[in-house]
Amino acid sequence: MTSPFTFFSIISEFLYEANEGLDQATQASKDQPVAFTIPQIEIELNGKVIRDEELEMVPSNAFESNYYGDKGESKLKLTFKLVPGEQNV
Amino acid sequence: MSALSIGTELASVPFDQMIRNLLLAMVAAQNDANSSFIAGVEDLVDTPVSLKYKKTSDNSNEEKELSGNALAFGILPTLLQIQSGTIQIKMVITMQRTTEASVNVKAKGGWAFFSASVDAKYSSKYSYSVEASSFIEIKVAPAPPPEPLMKAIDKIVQDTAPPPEST
Amino acid sequence: MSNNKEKIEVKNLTASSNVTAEKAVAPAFAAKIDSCTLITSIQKDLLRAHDFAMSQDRSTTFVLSDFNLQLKAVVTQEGEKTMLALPTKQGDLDPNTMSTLNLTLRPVPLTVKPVTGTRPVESIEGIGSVLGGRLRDIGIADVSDLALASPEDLVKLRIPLTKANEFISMAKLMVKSNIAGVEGVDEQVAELLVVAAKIDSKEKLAQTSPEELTAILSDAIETGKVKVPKTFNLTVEDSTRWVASAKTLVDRTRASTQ
Repeated sequence: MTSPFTFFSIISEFLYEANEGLDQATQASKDQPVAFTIPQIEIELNGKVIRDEELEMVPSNAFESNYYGDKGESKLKLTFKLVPGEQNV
Repeated sequence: MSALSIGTELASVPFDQMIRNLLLAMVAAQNDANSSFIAGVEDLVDTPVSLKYKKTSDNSNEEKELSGNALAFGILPTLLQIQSGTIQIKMVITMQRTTEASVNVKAKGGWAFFSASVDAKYSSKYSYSVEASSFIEIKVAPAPPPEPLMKAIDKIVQDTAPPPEST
Repeated sequence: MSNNKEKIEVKNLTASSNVTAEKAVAPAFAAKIDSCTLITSIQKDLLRAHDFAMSQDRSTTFVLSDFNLQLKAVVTQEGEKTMLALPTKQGDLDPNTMSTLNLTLRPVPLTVKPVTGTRPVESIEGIGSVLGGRLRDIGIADVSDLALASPEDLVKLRIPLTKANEFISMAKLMVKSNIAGVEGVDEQVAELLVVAAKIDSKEKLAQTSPEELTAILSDAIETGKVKVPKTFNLTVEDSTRWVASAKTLVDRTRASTQ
């Protein structure tokens, strides 16, 4: 379950899922008098950055919880912004 | 306990569903606020208000009364509007290679993120430190304002609440 | 929870792991990477992710606007080079020996340069042939190029920052003045025309089709190539008016010089 991810995999997966989630919510609330959109998503991941053939990150999870603790865990902060729908908010 | 069963115990959900559900929860909350506003308007239509006073002049001391419903006196319930929201979740991230079937459905790479919010129960059960868990912060903003609702309220006020009359 | 009490274990590595290099970073089994390779590697992933975001078949998409990595690694020296030791799948590093590196990468839109320009950079006061030559060496061939350059580009040529800003401001002014006087073209529109449509003279504006111009400008606004206030509203009528006014001005100039 704890698998290493390239940064591309992490980013693209979150991008895809965020787009998909927003799309689904927009569809589901299109008949409502009010709808919400997400101008920004911030994600902070704890884990370790490893190097195999490529640079990869293994996010900490329930099964490998904080092996390194505060001293050794890397932190990846990602900020996603919505374009160009953001301008309509 | 196998890794998979822990994931199930944590009730992990795909990230997209988490976003979808959070947004829909905001919509539902706003709808509830709107409904309670309308209920408030209906209550006020049925709430009689009467103000008695004595009109004093040089020769008389005339009894007067102003009456109408509460709406006619400009009393309105409060309409709560969610202007923006920030959703912050401490979460556990687990990753799985998705099966061929789900890959085809989603038409994308073979990985899927599953996330689950961490609560006290799981924190102690799996010795999981909430402080060190990953977190997601989602800022939510409304678009656009509920104009149809406001128009409806105007109509109700016009139709049901004549201006106060003196008797 | 195991946490820091966990000891570094000596594990049997598989044949595929790069054991020899890691022995230097005793006692752990780690892969070493220099900072240049580290950043290049991340950049490669970010570029792929950006392409992925922009290839979405949707009306809106999220894009990554900030990438911040607080990397924990053991810093080692190898000859002249500073190397960072990262754990591998097989082994781990002692958390107590780790340093923190903070990397922030942010996507920056590439500047759109006008294709042609007629005035050499030497037409700006303070730029002589020597400096002009150096500017051309880094791709700043004329005033239009200079107007779109960043002060940092000029600082690299050992031009003081204040002077660099002065040169760029002057170039911008000269480019905008080429289309000044056209009806409805204020500073905002002038910038839009220069940056998005590469139109830096009345003559070029006069020869443009209003429909095409509207499409190019709308696209530039939509894709964020050019930032405009939210209230800015572009219509074909606007473009038609600018083009017509430019034509009148060009004709008038021609008539007066004949």
